[in-house]
Amino acid sequence: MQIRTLIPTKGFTLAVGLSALLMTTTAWAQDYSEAPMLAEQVAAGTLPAVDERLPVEPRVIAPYNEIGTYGGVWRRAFTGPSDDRGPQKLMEPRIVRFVQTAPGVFGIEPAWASSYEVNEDSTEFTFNIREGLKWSDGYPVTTEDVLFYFEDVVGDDNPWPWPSLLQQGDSRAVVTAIDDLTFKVTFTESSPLFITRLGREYVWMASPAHYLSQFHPNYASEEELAAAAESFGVESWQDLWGRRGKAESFWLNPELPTLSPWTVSTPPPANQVIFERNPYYYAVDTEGNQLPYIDQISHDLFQDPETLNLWVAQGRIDLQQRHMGVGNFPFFKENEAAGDYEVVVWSGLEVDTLWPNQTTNDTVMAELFQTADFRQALNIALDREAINEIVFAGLTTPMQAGPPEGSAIYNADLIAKWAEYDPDTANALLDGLGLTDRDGDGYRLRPDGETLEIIITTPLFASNIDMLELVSEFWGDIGVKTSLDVVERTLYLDRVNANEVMMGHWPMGRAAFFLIDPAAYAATITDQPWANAWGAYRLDRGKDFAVAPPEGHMLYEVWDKVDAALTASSLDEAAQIGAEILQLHAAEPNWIGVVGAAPSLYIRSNRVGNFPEGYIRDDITRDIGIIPTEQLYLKE
Amino acid sequence: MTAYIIRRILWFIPTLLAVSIVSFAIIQLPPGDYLTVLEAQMGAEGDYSPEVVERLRERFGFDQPFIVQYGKWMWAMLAHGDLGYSFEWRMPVSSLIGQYMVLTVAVTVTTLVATWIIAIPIGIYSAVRPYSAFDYIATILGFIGKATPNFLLALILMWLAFSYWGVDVSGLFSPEYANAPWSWAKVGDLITHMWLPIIVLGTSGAASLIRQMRANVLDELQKPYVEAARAQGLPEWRVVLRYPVRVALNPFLSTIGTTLPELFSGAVTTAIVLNLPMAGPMLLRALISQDMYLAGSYIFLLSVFTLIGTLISDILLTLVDPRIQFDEA
Repeated sequence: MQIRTLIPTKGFTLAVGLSALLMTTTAWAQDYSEAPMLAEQVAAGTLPAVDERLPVEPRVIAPYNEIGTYGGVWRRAFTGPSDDRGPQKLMEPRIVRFVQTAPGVFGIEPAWASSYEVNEDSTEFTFNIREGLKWSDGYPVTTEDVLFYFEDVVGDDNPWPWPSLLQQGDSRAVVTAIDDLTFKVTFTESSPLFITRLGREYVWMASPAHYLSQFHPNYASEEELAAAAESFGVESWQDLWGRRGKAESFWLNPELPTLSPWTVSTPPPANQVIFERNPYYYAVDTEGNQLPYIDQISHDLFQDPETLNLWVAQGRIDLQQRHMGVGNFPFFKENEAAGDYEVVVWSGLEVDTLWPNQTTNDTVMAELFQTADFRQALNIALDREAINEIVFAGLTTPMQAGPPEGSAIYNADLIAKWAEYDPDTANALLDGLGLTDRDGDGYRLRPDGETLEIIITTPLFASNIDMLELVSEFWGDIGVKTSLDVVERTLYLDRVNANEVMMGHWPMGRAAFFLIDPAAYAATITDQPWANAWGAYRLDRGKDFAVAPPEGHMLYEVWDKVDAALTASSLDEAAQIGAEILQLHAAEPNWIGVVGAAPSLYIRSNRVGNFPEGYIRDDITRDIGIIPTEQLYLKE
Repeated sequence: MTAYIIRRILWFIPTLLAVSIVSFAIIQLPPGDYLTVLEAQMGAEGDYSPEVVERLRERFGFDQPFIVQYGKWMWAMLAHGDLGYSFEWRMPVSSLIGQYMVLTVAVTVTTLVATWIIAIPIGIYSAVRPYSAFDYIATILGFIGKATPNFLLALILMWLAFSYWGVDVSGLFSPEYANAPWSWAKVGDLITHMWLPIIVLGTSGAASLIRQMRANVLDELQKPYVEAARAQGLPEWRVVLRYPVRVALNPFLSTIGTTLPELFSGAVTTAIVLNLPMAGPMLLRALISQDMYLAGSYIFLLSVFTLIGTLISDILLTLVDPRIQFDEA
């Protein structure tokens, strides 16, 4: 993919192209079609007609293959209350959305906004709300909802913190309403990544003021709040708000007006969570059929991954990638006919990576990890090809950690660096560091006379013990002892937070456009601790182990560049700076990437239509949310 | 007898108090708390925000010492019958666990009864006709059942059902009944799904029951009173059922108290493997996510059931065996 596709100018062309399309749309404004279940309600007089429900200019979504048919239940599975991101990604109520027009070609389109304009130096962003846009309860969406969001929902005394997306150093972006349907976001410095980040961050830009204000202390009295809390069965009005808020959560409150294609009708803790079509959804297909095509989405609760695998084999899953392990590929393939589905492969952009903590509290090891030759030796001692074949059935790509090919910004040098198997050079490098003495078992001794031993802490869920055992064998070959510390995921995080991890294990991800979340490169992400104490210094959250990197360390340059990218004058310039960050890391990688770009497996029932193959899946571009799920349909 | 029962029930109070303190403490043992779990989750999803975590810490009172948190929980339970609040689900524990508890008790009690119905006659028959072909078959099956871990048996049966009949035997309801209100059709659906958990949970229990029953009855059959009964011309079935079996039942009745918790805990892994909407999986999830009031309430309720089980077994014991007297002093 080219960077071009993500830059604002492209956004402009898309917006322009779209309005051209919309002109034709208005021509058929009279003959919109709707789902039979809605037509029934219209006939019964309980719902207004479809052209009254749709905005004047609906969003037009072109189906991938063909115009779909209405109806049906899309069956999926979920693991419990913390799995809300699964359904969420199918139906995010975004103002702009990522699109992937062909494998690896990304763009960003206005969604519930009809268009947006960006000024010359990317400091002012003007959004136009679709005229006649309605919440799922039929109430009109106006800038009042936008102001409610920024004044009462996010910010200091509000239920949500102020989004980092709208923060530049100490100054905050200002949101002003121009008229009922137009609003402007103004930054003090340029913010070229703003639109792209809007496609990814959990910042919805509007909240249904007419409904949610009744649960807000700025609008409701204490008694009203207490009564509301009681009616939802919670202790305090605060519990009504937030990601798990009983009133505000998209999947806990069937009453909540949303801008999503589906809204929850049976919320958790039901064992089967059901979503139903939003009758006021603002998009149509190219023939004027109101979307979504699919009536309902159901999510069945499962405990054990094996249960899900059996469900897949029996054809109880219509379309899902979440919780489908790559290791089950043979099983899924074997049962394609029995379950009447197909395994559709998308490419993933994650790299399975080991993170040598250069600031581990074992000072001898910290010093070794800071030595480039030592990291190189550990890197080239790994036969990545063998690991790929033995552990991953040859489905992954042996590589150094970095954004894989297919990412918006990618650096071929970085992902190739130190990824060749060369144990002789590795041994020579270690000898060159003076690590020549051996203990009784043949392991090298550290400068302080102890056995050179690396302890890898790995969270249970992410770890592939088979892989780590191979790693420890390869390192054993060059005289480095390795032991594994397999811990529960929470404990892993706890240990990192206390800087008690010598070497971490976690995939490097979010590569599609890494500048949106560059924390791994800036050492400021907890789960990828290659320089834990230095990252803590940068984050400045009062960790007692935080310490500044040594003078002249490349991290200073990386941090400057990360800041510079966020306030670059254009996305082009930001991308240029992003490329420089990768180049800095490519010189002497700070980590040990093993294999990556593993396929993402979508179980797709043969009755599901309009689902593309071979796309790139990444959290940044919202996983399956990158395709308009509205245009999926079920063939009966 | 009434006085005895009342006294026993009064003893529940200190016992449950002790159980609740211990379970609450154990839940708190692992490092971190629910918010650490939440942080981990948010970190992995890239929307970590220290402000949110800080607010929740205050909101849920995690900044308070252990004894205060425990005290609040206990007080709410005693004063308002309020089991506390589930952080993970953001709802009162009591409204969350009702349906799970009902299904758990239903499955467990049915399993217990089914085990008895199957195991006791087999045990008696094996004792009356020891070393017969039937005895050997029952013994072999019993030992296999005893030696196979529940979850493995569940996996094997699921796999067999899937590969030979292509049916899914997991869960307690078909998808179309999962959310349906209770009706006869739903009960019917439940019954058609219940046989598998009963087999899985009951097999090892039935196996040991058969062995115990066989040994007990065999012992009794040698005793002179059996001889005497036979000499008086009673029919054989009556001799066996009326005296040796009645005596041999003693050990079972006294173990109801321990069988119940065994079934409950056995049900955890089985319920996870079989995807049963029972208390076990929810307890496990609550423990993993350190949702302490939810986990604490489960353990507390399970302890209550255990105590009730013990009481019932003691009462049954006196009814079946007149030689056992309550100490009325």
